[in-house]
Amino acid sequence: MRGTLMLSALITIAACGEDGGSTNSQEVITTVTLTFTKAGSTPVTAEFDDPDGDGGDPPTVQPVELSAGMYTMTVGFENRLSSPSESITPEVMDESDVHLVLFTGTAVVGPASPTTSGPLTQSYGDMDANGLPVGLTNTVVAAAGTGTLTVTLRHLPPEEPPVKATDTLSLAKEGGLDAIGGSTDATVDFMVTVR
Amino acid sequence: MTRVVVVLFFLVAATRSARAQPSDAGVPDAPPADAAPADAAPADAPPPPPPLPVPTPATPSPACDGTLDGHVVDAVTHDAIAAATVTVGSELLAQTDDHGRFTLTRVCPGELVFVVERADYNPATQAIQAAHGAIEIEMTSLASETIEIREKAPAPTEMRSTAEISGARLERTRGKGFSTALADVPGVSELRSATGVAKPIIRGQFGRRLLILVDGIRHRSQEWGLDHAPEIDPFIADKIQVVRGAGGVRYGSDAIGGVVLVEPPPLRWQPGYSGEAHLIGSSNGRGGTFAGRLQAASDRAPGLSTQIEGSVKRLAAAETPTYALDNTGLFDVGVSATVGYRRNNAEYKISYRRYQARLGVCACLRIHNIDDFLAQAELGEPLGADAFTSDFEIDRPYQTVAHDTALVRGQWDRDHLGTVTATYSFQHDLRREYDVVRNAATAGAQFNFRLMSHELEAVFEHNPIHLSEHWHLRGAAGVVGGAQIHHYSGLQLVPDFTSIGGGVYVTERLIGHSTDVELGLRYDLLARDASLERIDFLRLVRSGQLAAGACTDPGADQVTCASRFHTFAGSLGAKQQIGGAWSIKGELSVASRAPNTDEQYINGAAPTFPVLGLGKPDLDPETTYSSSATVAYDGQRLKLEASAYANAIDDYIYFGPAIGADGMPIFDVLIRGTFPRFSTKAVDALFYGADGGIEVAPIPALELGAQASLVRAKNADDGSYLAFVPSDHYRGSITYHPPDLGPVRKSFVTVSGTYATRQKRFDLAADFIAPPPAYFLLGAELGTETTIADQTVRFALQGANLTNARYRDYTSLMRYFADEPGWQLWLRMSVFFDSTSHPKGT
Repeated sequence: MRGTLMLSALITIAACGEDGGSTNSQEVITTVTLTFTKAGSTPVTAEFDDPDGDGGDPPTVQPVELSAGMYTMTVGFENRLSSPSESITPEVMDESDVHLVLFTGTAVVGPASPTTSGPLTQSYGDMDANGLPVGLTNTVVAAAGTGTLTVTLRHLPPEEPPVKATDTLSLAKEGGLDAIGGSTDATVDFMVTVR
Repeated sequence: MTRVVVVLFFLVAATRSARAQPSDAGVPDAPPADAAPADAAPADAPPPPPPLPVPTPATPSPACDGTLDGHVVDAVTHDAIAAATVTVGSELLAQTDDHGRFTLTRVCPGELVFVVERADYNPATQAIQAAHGAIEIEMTSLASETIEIREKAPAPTEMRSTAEISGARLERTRGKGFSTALADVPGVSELRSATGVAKPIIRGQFGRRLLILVDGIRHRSQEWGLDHAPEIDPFIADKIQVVRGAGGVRYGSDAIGGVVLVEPPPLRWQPGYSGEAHLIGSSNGRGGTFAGRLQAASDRAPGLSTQIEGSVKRLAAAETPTYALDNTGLFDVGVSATVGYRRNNAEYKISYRRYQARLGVCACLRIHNIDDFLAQAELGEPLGADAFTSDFEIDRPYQTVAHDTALVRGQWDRDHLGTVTATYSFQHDLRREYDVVRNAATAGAQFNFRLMSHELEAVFEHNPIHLSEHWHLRGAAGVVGGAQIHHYSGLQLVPDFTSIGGGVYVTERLIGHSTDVELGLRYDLLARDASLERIDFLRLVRSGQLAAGACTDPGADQVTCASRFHTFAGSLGAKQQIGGAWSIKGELSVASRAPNTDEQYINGAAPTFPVLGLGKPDLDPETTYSSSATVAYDGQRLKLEASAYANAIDDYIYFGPAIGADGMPIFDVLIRGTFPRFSTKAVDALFYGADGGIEVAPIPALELGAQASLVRAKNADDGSYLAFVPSDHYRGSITYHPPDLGPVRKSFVTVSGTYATRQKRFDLAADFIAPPPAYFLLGAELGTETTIADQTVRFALQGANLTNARYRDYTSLMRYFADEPGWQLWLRMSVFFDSTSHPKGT
């Protein structure tokens, strides 16, 4: 029995190393951070955080609490499972032609949201190499009210014809996210209150 | 060259008629050497005298109403001798069956002198006096300088319902996947994955509850994954046997659903070479298969035999009637080499086999988010289907698998004891799954599974022990031991583990002329240490699945959680032959299966479905109590088998929707949205059903066949239905054999239809989407055989789904995303060659 164990151990040692899981760390997202910046005031942040990944502890979500006015809203993605924690935002930016952040929910009026009146009016503030929006940087006009803000990071694979196109946002607005191709990398809900 | 050695002795005929002789008249239990009469010829004596002259049997008269049960066995080993002829005078009266049995009816009173003959045995002559009773005739084999190992009597009939796929029936499945080859058997269906390949389901059980043995070795792989098909090249099989029902005693106590035995062809011992080659083209997928096998033996190396074989299959993505299943291409390769050696009473075998495949996963799959998944499932066709193409290129997502098996086996015959077989095997199973990645720079696979299994088994099969002329005992005892190492890396999923296990079993069968009774017992111990990453361990603790003190070294990077399982299996079966053609058999058995590590420790998004999976680390083994009854008729023009079964499974380990205290399904928030929570739990389950088939040949040229399979399965705790239980399937076929036309022979035309009902018994919370509608599939095949350059060549054209029906199958994971493939044609050419030029037939 001991002999078998030792033999087994040898094989295990020989087998290790090549199956490295480290290449997968940038595939995991645990945290989505929204940062609202208004000229002359302290930035407001809200975080959806699930530091131990799927399962385990449930995630914590901070509410978005703003005063009325115009904000620059940036979105950050992070993997806190890896040590040290790793920002995914630069990677989304690097591959912005196959990524799109969509903003929907009862709090949002914007290019992808079918909501007609809500406390936040969102417009895209960045573009990929093809002149299409990305959504890491946005302009948001806040007015008094409450609702939910759903932030979705969608991966739109570079197939022929490309899934990310000029009509992607309007398709999503009309038919919801199911009307566009690709797959969802993250989708989180925030409670929004604007005073 | 052959020196014929003659030992001729008769061991007696004790008949048990009205004037029965004392039962010890025949000394059947004494060792033959001692029992041999004094006039037995010495080993180098001249050939035996010709058979004794026998009188012509009396002409039948009203008094001739006797029945005589005969049994012909080897004088040394007491193994049954099949296909021996029984003559009285010049009249051929009977031929022994596989179990060495023959029956004579309308026997007249008075002396009768039998001669029993088979080419490799000395003729045996025996006189009896009675018109009724049982007789046992022992024969001695013709010995020669090169002692051949006697062909063993076939294994006794299974007490469970079994089906064998071999010969023409197996050939019909060439070019298709391994589990498709089994799907013709009543009670068997397929669980198809999103790669288009499948695993078999036997009576509602699949994966870890089903054992697959390849050349006697248990196939060890990641059988737990719904989308993991067995890594087996179907071309290695010469015969596939499907045992429906728990096969716990002989094959492992966890074989609670059934057993599939994949048997390679016997090695060639006669000098020369032989083999076969198959070339198969497939219309749907525009690809094909080439497979070949070569067996050789030489008189310059007596006792040595070799075999090599290989197959290559390449298919583009399959097409449904309306769109292609983009990215479902397949490329697989199988190779093997075997060397056998026989000397005296021993036989050795060493064999190595490799199977590797690259399997594309359909681009239509959307499983990263439950909303995407459900939205997709409600669409009639996949999102973006217009752009789907059928090509050979395989992109992410895809799987690669490689399975290596090496085995060494020795078999030793001890004339007066029996046979000992010892086998050592090593299997290496490597599966890598490449998911769609967000970051184009991400190289490598997201899931890497490596499983190494060592196994050692020793079995002793004792020679039949004769209790009386009527009854003898056959049996075997075995010990098995094994060690496994599982190494996983990639996205959070399952732990590593090492395990050591062992078992002992014994099975004995009392065999009478028309009645068999079998009893078997088995015990297994499994000691397994799961090694969890600290973060995964903490996650299990935080979600309340695992107590913090349940594992050793909770502060270390790798936390070790030990499990010990004791499992028992037992079975009692009986078989009764009624008349010549009818038989009934029944079986009661108990078997238990230890949980797998995924069932214990999964914590996170499941790999196949968008659900949050939570395991249960303190699971106990599940235990099945099963019963089955089978009735069979085996006649000239009519063959039928029908079987009914019921299995109650205690602590059935079921991965299903978690229900909260309020009776509603629980959902969890993940970063990819809200997911249904599925948990592993022990429930009491009940599986029951019936299956069977009938074949009728109203005239020799015409065959009609029909089959039905019905399975019901329930969670007995709450009355809900279990997932992935096949709907009712019915199959019918008509085959016509036209007369031979010159050199063209054995031609046939078959038309077949399969009807699958809609599964009406389902649990929407577990299935997500209501089952697809019923469907009907039409198939046809024509084939013929001829001889070219003294070798047998067969051609066949086969078609499936000829009406190009759009359908989805309840037990296919693809049903959530896309239709099943449309019409399909296969063109097969098979050559069977033999250096001695005798065409091989089936």
